[in-house]
Amino acid sequence: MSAFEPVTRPDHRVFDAHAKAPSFLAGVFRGDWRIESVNWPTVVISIAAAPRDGAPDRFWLRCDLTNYPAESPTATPWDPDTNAQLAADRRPKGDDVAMVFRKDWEDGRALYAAYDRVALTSHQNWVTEHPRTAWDATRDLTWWATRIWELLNDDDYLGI
Amino acid sequence: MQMFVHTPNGLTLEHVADDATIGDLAAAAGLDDATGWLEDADDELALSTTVAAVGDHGHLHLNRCKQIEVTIHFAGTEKTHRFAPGATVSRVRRWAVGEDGFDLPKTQRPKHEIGVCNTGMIADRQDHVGSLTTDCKLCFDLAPKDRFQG
Repeated sequence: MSAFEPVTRPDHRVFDAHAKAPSFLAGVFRGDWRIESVNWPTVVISIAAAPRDGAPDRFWLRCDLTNYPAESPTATPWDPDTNAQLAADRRPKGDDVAMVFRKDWEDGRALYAAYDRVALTSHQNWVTEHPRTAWDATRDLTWWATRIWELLNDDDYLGI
Repeated sequence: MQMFVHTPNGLTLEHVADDATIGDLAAAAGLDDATGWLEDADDELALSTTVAAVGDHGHLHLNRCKQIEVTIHFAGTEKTHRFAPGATVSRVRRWAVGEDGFDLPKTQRPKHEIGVCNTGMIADRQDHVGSLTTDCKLCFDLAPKDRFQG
């Protein structure tokens, strides 16, 4: 490695700053989300879910944050017990949340939402159709985590 | 201890002495004539109240406004209600979709969200209403959430 290469990439530096922002830390201390591991550009984040019988108290997302924040994270629902993609029968159920966590699109490797890089790339119409939730470079980690937290904590969420 | 301090200027995470008072924090924030509230509480905190009342990693709101007049637009109508500045958007949303607000059918309530008028922005549920305005008034839209299709 050249002595002049940065220790962390620009996207990693921005992520670090956003992960230390008061708004993100507030969610950490409330228990809403937690950074489980960072192996850049792979970041594993867990998001708390409302209590439902037989369902976990949080869901894990294995995220790729390449080019963050110019590009959105892309997140694979993850099973920390098997260290593999979360199986269909373990994914959150509910009208809206199940659509985002669907397994029948891209084999479930990304969230079906305008704030997921893989989904937004293949649905460019969402930029104009969903301006409130489409990712752009002004968004940050707190904003992104909040979108998913709201899905898992609304009455729409039914468990697994 | 550490404390999340919400003001009209935004949110900060402050290290505070255990014997600091709400008045001390208001002065440090340049809000000498502000009042303090616990998150989602209706009653003001006396300026002599120590930070122990807020707790480690608790949330304190400081604002010169005594109340925030929140007007919510939905389906061509509007309703107005006054909230303490430390009220969260989550609390406002519960009011808006509930019996005292627009009384949406229960199955529809989780399908609607609060946005800040004329911005196209979703109001994050943990934000305090007092942090979203500088003139003690706030305008929200209650609108259906995005559903991603095609």
